[in-house]
Amino acid sequence: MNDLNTLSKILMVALVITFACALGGAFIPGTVGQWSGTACIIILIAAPVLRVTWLVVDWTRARDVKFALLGCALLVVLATSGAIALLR
Amino acid sequence: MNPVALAFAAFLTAAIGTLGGLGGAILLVPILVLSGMEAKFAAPLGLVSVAAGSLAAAPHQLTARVVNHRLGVATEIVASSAALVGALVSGLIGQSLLAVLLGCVALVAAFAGGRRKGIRNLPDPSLTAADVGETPGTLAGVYPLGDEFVPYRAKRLPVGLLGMGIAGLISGLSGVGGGWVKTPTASEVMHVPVKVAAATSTFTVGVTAAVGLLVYESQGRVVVSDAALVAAAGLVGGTVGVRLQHVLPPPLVRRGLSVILAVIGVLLIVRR
Repeated sequence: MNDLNTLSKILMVALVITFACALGGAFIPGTVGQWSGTACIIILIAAPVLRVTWLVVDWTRARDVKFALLGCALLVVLATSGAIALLR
Repeated sequence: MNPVALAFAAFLTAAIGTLGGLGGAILLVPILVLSGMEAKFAAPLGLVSVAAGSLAAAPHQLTARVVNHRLGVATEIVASSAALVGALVSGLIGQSLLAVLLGCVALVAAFAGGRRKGIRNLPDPSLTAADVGETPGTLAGVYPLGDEFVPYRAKRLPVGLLGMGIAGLISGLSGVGGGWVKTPTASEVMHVPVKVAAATSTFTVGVTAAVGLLVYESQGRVVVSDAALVAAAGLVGGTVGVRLQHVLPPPLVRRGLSVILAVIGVLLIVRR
């Protein structure tokens, strides 16, 4: 499939939204600014995970099984790292 | 640090970090600490800068097909696992010894990149724009260099994975991203073209930063207003950095990277 152009467009939208949220978080005082800044951070955390997940689906569709499994393994490692770090 | 200086520092370090695939935290965190910010608040801002630079670079790098995602995913498994081990044992190693080790690694990486001349991977006239991208099932691919197209294949995988493991270990031990080790490892050990190495590292440091940010956010160490300012400046800096990466010739990127690494190495050793 190799549908990286679609992923590129999605990440471009995420980039614009993140920038808008970041400006809101930096310059709008009070609760609105706080929420805007938090939304910016959430997108920054979610975007790379979305990218790896997209790659896994893309490689699975393309029958590139070896790298699809490696992508799954990376997601497991990331989830495990996050869980261990949060529990410590 | 006043907001204008913070924004400028975030912009500059994200631009340099994205250009060289370094991540930027290795530059931003020392600047923030030197300006008087507590390290426990500077480290999350460094990761925000890395994540912002990675997101800013992604659309352009995906369209240009210069990232080798298969290489990035394969090496990131080792790097992330080692980072977890590093984080778990980080209390066992003294910060002064760690700073010297980091400085030595940076100087060796700077020397390895700086001493090499010319371009290792040469264009193949038989290739066309349709060949650009990754080769499925392998750690090979083709990237555009001006009007020509350059084939490459990652070599010395075991040694390269060892290098990525060291990068991850360093990242876990020190709390800064490992991009400044990953890019030279991919370029100088695995013989991946420096632009592909830098772009792939920019992708992987974003993944690592996401996990780190999640932890810092849960610990309440992210000051949202400062993080938002750093993110905004980092997104602009990352966009500028990736444009520069696209137009600058590979030897210039490699030598620039060597100079930055040398500065980082000296700073780490002197400041310990």
